[in-house]
Amino acid sequence: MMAPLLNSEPLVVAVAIGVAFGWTLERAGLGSAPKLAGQFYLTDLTVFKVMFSAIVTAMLGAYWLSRLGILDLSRVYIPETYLLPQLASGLLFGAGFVIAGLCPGTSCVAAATGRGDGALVMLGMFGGVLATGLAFAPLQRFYESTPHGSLTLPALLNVPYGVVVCAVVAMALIAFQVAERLEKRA
Amino acid sequence: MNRPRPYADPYVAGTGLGLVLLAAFVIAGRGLGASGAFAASAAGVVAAASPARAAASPYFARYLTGDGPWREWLLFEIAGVVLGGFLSALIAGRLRAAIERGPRIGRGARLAYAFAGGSVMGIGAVLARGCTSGLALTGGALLSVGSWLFMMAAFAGAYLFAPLLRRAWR
Amino acid sequence: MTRRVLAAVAALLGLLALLRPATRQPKDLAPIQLAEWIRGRKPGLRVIDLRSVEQFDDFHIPRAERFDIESLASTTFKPDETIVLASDEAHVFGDRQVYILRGGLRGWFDEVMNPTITENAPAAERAAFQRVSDVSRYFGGVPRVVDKPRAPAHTAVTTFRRRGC
Repeated sequence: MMAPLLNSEPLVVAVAIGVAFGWTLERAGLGSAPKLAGQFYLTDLTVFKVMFSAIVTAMLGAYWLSRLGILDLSRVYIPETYLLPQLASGLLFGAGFVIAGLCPGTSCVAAATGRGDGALVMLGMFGGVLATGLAFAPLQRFYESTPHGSLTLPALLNVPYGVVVCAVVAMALIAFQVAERLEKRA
Repeated sequence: MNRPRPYADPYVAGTGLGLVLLAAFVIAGRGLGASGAFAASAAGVVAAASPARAAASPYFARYLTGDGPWREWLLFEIAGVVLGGFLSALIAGRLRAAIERGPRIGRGARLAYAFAGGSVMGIGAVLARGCTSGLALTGGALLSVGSWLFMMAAFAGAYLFAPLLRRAWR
Repeated sequence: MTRRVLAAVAALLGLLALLRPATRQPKDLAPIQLAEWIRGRKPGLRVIDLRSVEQFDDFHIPRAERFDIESLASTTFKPDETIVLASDEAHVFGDRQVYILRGGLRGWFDEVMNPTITENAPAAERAAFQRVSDVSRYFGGVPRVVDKPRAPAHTAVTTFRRRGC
């Protein structure tokens, strides 16, 4: 069983992974705000297709590498669950997404490829984080409410990991069919 | 200037993105991210302007331990994202100075929307502990409950708000 | 075409995930490795002792927790925890990797508390023994040099306890 290759995470690796990340986002066309916004008017479902196929790929990869004893998944950081803040902030974040037309990651790609709106999204993002960070004290109770640690769907539903993996793949394949139909109709 | 090349097939690009994410799991033991880079740089700026202010915020304070905010992993990753996006667009002939917007909205209004939307996402990303990359994508692949909840809430929020913004995009 | 291939691969890998993994075989864990983990305060280490309350009260490995099989089944362990069963039987643990302490408690006594080496052992063995002795003393063990190859010491738990562990 292999732990992740790096403990100290040299920063050059961070840059390399970032380059690959930015590259794929740009290739997919996710550096262009009107294309992203099309997701929310059901005219261009690229965001959904790219995101969901990335999730399926990485999920299958992580599952199989772990099952074959190659990757020790217990050493990979799983984002922690805080139900209430993540539900409420998710709604807020989604609203910001459709106003901006870009999300934080894609705004960096947009800005890097010359899009002024991308730079402004980055600036706004910075301002929002700055203001929230400064006004954090009264928000802290909400931020830390309803904690559930590294809760995963298999643990929540009490079904084996492989069953959830299969269900997500099935959901994705069906959803992709629906997405293609919706795009044709638009 | 060459005509820009068309974008890649979304499923192929998505699979590629998934492999990048998987590589991050294997190599670094963590996924991708974006909002953390904004948080680290905001912490760094506040700390430079007023160390007391930064230390007083529990949110910023944790970026100030260890090597400090300017050595934060995600900051370097995001520098890579900028570089990777630039290189990809350069090779595909898609570099273009522009303000991309809907057909019925002016440049100024578009920029104001961009800033406002970015700010709202900033608030959301702080309180949710991540954004589309670090929380939704990374945690989605690892089947984190909070990540799936955030992802569904974000799409719900966007679809609820989209009709009000028709003027901006359609 | 590419899309079809991608979809087919995803469907195949997804369906195969349904097959129950041949219940993960627990891995053997050398007692000395466990001793080093405990001494090094390995984060997330859970040493699970499945013996009876009496046996547990009599002696248990430092940091061990006692569990009934039933309560074990209803306990969910965090993904970042390393589970070591200090017991002589292998127990089914789903598709989660667990470690079985090799030789059970007896292994712990033979290899951690009472490690031995022969006088004329080769250099490599001596070096390894040095490491073992170090850990052994940490737990109050007594490494010894013996003249005959090790006859499993198999010290009774009770006699050991009296030596004041």
